[in-house]
Amino acid sequence: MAESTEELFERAVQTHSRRLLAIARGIVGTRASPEDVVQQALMNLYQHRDRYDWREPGGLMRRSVVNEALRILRTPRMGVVADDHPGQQASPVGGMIDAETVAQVRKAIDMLPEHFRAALVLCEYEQMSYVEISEVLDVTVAQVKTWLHRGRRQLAERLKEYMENKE
Amino acid sequence: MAVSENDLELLEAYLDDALSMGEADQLRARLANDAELAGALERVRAERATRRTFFASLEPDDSTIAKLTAQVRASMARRRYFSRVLRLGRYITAAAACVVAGFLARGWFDHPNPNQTANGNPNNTKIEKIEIYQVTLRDDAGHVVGVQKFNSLEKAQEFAADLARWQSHSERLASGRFVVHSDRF
Repeated sequence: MAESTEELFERAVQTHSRRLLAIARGIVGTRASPEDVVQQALMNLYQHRDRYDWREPGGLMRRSVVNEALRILRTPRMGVVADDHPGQQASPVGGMIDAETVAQVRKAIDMLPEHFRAALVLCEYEQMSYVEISEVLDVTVAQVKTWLHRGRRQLAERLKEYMENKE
Repeated sequence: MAVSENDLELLEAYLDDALSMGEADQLRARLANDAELAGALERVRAERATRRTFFASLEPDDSTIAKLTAQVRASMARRRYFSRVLRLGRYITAAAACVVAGFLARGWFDHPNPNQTANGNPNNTKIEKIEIYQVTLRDDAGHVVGVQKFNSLEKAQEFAADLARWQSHSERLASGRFVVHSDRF
């Protein structure tokens, strides 16, 4: 028997939550609650669930989370959440993570403009192509390339001293 | 000589797997003959590896995921509940609209005197005027879903006002971020 939209939605949430939450963490950092971002994005989709095709919902959900994260960051009344995530919680690769490196990169990434950060997360964490990123962020491919390049150069500059000391 | 910004961008695109076959071959040929460019590629690779460590740390653990999915399920259940309440509220709005005018439907009813004779005796017939006020509930499509009758305009208006208040309250609950302590309102 075919699954109902509700069932497909629930399954999609179950399947994609981990990556969606990681994306939200990467974009909002410590400036908002990533859990709230994901929950709100999912509820936005749920409200209009009958409009979407839930057989392959990955791209749709990713786009919704990125848009919600960017929307929240652009909202002026923004509180700072506790700096206990991410990287300070146990994670599947917890033992392998260099906490100092994570903290340094987090700090540097937090200083990037939000659209640079979003492009970087989608490219390097989600392994999306430039074309896919341009669709999610609703900009041109050339713009994506520029944001990625500038973001990476700014990060490299900010992390230069740390990287040299580490070596 | 320092590696140019264009070359750095090219190296990044190479590592992103965003170059065409021809461009990638061309770059590989340059890397084989240009030690500085090859060194830059290694630096870009190292920067990427550092970021990868950070991105790996973003992955939440199972308990965080379980908590999130439970919250989403709870939100879905709330949304379904309020959706039902709101649907009912819409009926009530339609009803309130009907009350205002709809009603002033008055009826004249004859109450025959039990002592009236078969051929009728106007002197023995009591005629009483009764005013009926009716509130009709309609859905969005205009279909009648219920009817409530009152014997005074005040009562009909009071009923309509109560419905409007209740609906307004329901809509606020459904659209706002209220915490529901009770479902009796």
